[in-house]
Amino acid sequence: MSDWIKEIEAPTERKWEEFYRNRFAHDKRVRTTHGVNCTGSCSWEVFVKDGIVTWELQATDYPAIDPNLPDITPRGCQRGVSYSWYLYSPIRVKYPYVRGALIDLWREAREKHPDPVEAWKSLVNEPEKRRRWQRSRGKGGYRRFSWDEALELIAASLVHTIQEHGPDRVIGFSPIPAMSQISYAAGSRFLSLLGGVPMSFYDWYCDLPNASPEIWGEQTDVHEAADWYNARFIAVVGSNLNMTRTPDTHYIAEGRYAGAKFTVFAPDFNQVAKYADWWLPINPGQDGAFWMAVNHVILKEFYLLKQVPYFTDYLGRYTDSPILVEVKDGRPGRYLRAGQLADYADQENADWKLLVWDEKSGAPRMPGGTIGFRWQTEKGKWNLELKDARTGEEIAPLLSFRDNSDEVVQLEFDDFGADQKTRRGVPVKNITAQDGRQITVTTVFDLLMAQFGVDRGLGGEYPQSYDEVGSYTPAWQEQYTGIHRETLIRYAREWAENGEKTRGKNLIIIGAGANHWYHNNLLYRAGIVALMLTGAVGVNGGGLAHYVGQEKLANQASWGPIAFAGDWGLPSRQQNSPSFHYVHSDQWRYERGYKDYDKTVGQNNDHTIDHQARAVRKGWLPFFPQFNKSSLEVVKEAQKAGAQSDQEIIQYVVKQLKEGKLEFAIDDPDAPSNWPRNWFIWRGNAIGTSSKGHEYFLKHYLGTHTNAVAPEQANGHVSEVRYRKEAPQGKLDLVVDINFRMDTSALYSDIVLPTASWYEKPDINTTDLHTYINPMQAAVAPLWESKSDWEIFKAIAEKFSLLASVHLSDPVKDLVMIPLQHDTVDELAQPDDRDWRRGEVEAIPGKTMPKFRVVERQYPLVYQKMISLGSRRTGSGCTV
Amino acid sequence: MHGLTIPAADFYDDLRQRQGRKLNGTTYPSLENALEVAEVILYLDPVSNGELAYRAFKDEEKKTGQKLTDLAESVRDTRISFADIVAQPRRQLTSPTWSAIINQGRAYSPFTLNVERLIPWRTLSGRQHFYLDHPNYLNWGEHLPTYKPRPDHSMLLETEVTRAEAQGMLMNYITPHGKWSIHSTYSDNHRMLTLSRGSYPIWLNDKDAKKMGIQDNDWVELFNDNGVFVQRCIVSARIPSGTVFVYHATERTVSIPKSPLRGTRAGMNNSITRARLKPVLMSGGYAQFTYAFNYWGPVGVNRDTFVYVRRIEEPNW
Repeated sequence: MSDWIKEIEAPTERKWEEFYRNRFAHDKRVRTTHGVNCTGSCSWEVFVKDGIVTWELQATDYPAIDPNLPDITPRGCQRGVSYSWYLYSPIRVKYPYVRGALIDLWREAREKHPDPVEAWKSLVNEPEKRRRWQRSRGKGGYRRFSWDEALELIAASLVHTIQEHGPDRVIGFSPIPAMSQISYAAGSRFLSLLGGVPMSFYDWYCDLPNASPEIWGEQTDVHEAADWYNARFIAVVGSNLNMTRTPDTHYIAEGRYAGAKFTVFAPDFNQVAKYADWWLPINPGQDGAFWMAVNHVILKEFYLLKQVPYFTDYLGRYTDSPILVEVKDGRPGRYLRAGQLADYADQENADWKLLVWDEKSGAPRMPGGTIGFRWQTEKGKWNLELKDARTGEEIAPLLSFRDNSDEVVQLEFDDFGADQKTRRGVPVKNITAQDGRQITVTTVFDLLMAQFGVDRGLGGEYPQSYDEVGSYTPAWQEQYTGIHRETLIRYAREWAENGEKTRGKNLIIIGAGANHWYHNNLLYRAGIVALMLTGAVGVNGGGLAHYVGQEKLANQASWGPIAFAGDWGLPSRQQNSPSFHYVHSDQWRYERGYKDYDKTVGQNNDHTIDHQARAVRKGWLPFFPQFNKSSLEVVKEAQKAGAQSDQEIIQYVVKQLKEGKLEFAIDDPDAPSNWPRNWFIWRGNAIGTSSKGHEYFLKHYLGTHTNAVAPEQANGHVSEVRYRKEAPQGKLDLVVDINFRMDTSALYSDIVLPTASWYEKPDINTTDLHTYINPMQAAVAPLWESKSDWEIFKAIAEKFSLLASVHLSDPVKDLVMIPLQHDTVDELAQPDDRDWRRGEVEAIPGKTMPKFRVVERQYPLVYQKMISLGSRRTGSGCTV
Repeated sequence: MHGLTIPAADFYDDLRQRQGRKLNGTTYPSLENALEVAEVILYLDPVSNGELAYRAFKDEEKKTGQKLTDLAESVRDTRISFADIVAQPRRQLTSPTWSAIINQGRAYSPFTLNVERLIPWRTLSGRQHFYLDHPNYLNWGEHLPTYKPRPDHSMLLETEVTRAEAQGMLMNYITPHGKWSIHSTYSDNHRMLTLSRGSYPIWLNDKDAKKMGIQDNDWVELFNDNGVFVQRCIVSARIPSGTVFVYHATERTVSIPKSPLRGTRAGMNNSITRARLKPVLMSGGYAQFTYAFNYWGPVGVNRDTFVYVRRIEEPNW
């Protein structure tokens, strides 16, 4: 020991320092980043010595955004810097592995069947054999095997599934493309070329804030961290910034020097709570109640007792506040449509154009910018100018009828907290419709004032003071939030005053702590209302900054067609994972119908799966497999019945669906014909940290041991789907995990393929926290027998194409079912909610039901197409 | 994206020249290796190809009747390649495929394009919505901003069987992001596992723990009808009473003993959860309520989960 340290015999030489020098010596430095879901996208330098990654350090050469903004450099956190330990970790997957029970059976079958597809068939169609490897899932017993053997087994199983069940029984899960876009695209491109099913992550992770599409029609669009510096009043809600946004948090400190107030809502005294100017220890999941009462105070003090020109102007231009709503049966109803009035009845898309009350002309007028203008023939009127879109005259939309109403009517409002209805006075106008009918209308703003309980002397059950416990007063919120009313009033005033003085520099930074609750959309909406009321959305330093999940793929426009094979003109079977897992992992069987436990739901009191089934047949949501038959077989049947053109094939299918001869798979989710069969998992932990209801995954997907003891509840509660007495166990034939870690998903899969880790491959990484594009690069070549995801899916595609040239050699037609799509004319599909199966409306694809497209698949060409960029995207211009 | 049509045939042809490969006699841009894919992604996107940003604004001009191309005029010659981003991080360009103006040193703030250039939001009204009149929203009472109470355990019904086995109190179970993992996922490398106490402790409030006869570092079993998780606990006044934390995320490969209650290997943080979908979020076929992938639909909520916690003796491995 003393010889080695040299400290005793030669202390002046300080030889021990050499150990540390060597530890950090390097002969190469490579810029790359971490393909992790932290939304950091930090530029790192990785140091390599003799072909071994030794350490990493933050890069410090970002070009500055602006001299007036604090520098972005450096980025990177105390966790990220530990990444290099994964490369040589004991849990690193070094070789392809296969479940022992499976490989024994496979090799036996291969001896008997020279054809690998026949061999797979002989196993998977033999229930006892299939059960053998299913039961061993999660129980160890992995054996190393060769890439060649792995690829052959996987390819054979794919060919079999496509032949016997159809391509939409092949599913794949990989999360967060932004963190390594090419690695994601590897699998999703392959699946899309097959006709398989890429599964979503953002909604499944509960990172999607539904309030964003509800209010803005936008998935999520948020500030880069540098813009926090521009804010002057910051509310942090359910987001532990210092811990989860470590490289960004310096902007908070800098913003406070620039004068910002930093307030934090957190039930626990966490890192960001310690950092706050003002910590509000709110009860868990009750932030929505707080913001509802904040809005009550703002509406009363900044809209009723006084008016702030900036606020009212903002509301009139940028929100739906002045838009007219019909009141019917004593309740707020639908927006008034242009087509209901004689003046505008001849407008194209008249059902999709809305009206305001113009102060100047004292009449309803039609502004541009509503969705009808977006999809009409005449372009150029889809904008937010305050003009009558027909005459071009300037208009001044009225926010409220309070001062010039025809009458005041008492409308019913829901108070879900107290489980009661209240009746409150609302000022209205009576107008004559095109058909001579009298229509009663009010404005969205007037409804808001009533909903939030701001008494304007209109009669009805309005709370009379902040101290009255009524929806939604400062006193009311105390019972939920645990925050005193005086605190709330002070908060609301400061919030609105800041908005007034700074013209909207109010920022809500919000995270998983808020978004992971059941009523998250309402919680977010309450906060966003406080932003809109203070003119904060769409200004630097103001708005909603939701950081949950690295969803921002900056180059989505060019990446999308590559990732989902749009370049070959193929529609991808994109599946929302929440619906898929809820149904296929049979978690629905453990729930009752709403009528047994939720009084707030009114007439919608059947089972969640009933809503799900209706959503699929109306074209609201995707669901795969599509049908209780192969989508390839369905086309063949149609052709046999005489259908030739794509249109005739689709007509045949619609007829079959209407007559009940063909079923959606969702209608009978547990029928063996409707099970998913092959599952690819890559870049994620689908059976572990991403498996809400993990124990049900084990039971129903995998058919192995489980610790769930919950009794089934759904029997007798469901009306739209078939309830099968025996719940299936082990729906999946083959689970392939592509991983660099032996994680929980790897433990439960059938095959684990070793993938290159983040320092071993080229890729692209982007985030919403900054506006730079970062590369990933191979600091070292893929370690042991690993390959990058791109190379792995290429290898699978190549082997698959080879087997397909024998078994699926002819071009085949596939009928693909897609729900009505955002940012297309489908947005005008359903002015009303009608169900074709109940005979309320005709079944029309793309209108009252999903869209169908017939595509040709050439399975032997899958590999070649995968590695060539098709030209379809440039046919009528590159549609992005 | 955003319903824009951006002509790019000339750039596609450039790529055929630069990295062409033949398939059935036609030359296509090659995607054979990942670097080629990276070049295609950068070359064909408005955020890294200034001419495409210009053309995208041109298309948006047609739709909105507003002058917009000035936002990309000065960057029409900009092309960001993979070599460029390897040399130094490069900032994206302003593009109507997103919603912010980031020219001239402006930080990205969403919807500044909408507010300053009068581009509508992609909603029914083209404006931001206080009110949602989809028939489903009217039915569920969510047409106006509102408050609904959290679902309680009698609604969720996931503690009925275990109530009989429980000695502890009913707690709300949540899985926030942890301090000792690379974000939500990577907790199992040497560095992360040797910080704090290692493994995946169950965090309890001090008063709650006292009531249940649990001391700091005791082994505890956390369970409901869905499943079970067994770990040592940390008792801390930092945790709110009535709540139990297990930081996201745990792996079954690290220190998971058998559950005394079930006799089998205890699970992981998701053993306790179950997916519950909110039907109103399934609405579709109508303006902003039309489907897009990772964009709309019910979400996998997980915080409305109730559990029991009890102290156990040193468990079996």
